[in-house]
Amino acid sequence: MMTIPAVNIGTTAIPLLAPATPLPDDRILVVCDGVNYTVYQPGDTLP
Amino acid sequence: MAGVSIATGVTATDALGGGQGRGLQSPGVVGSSGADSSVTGTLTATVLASVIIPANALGPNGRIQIWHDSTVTNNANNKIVGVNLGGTGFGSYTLTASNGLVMCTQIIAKGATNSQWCLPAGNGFGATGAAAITGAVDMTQAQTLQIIGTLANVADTITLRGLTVLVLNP
Repeated sequence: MMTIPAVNIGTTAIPLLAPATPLPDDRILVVCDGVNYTVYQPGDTLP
Repeated sequence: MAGVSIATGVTATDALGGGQGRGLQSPGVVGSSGADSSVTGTLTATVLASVIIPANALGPNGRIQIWHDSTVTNNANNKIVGVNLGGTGFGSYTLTASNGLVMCTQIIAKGATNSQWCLPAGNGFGATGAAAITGAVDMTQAQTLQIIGTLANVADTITLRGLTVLVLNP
């Protein structure tokens, strides 16, 4: 499991969250909570 | 996971031509993923997946098909799943008391590489009272297509379960 910060790629008036860096190709689940993207990969315990 | 990212600036790795010794790869598929991608705990619109449409991939009479499948918290709150291409919204679908959405959003080039049209029918096909959406995205440049989830209650969840993006040209 790893976390990648969520950043605003929209505007101040119309924000849009996206990960700050590319996510790994072997991800099986990604959860954004408004602050971070939590990335689950093979072998991780899923929530 | 081919060609699909939820980050910006990632180039699609699969060719538009398809086949060509790559097993059962389908022609025109620029991105496809079965990985789950969720948003919860925020009311800010959130990118659940993004796919780069390569420069000149969509011809003046082509079509982009975006097949996407989402599940949502089944309650009365609004849960919105939207499609953006090059910063232009091409349809959003508001879910309330349902388990989810199976959708095909279709963006059609209208005789030019910078003119698009989309009728955001409720399920992607059939009759609709929705107004058509037009766009002027320059498809001679690479453009990012995004699936976006927006919640009205931080306790809810939208999960994109699958996504396949095709570019079809005559």
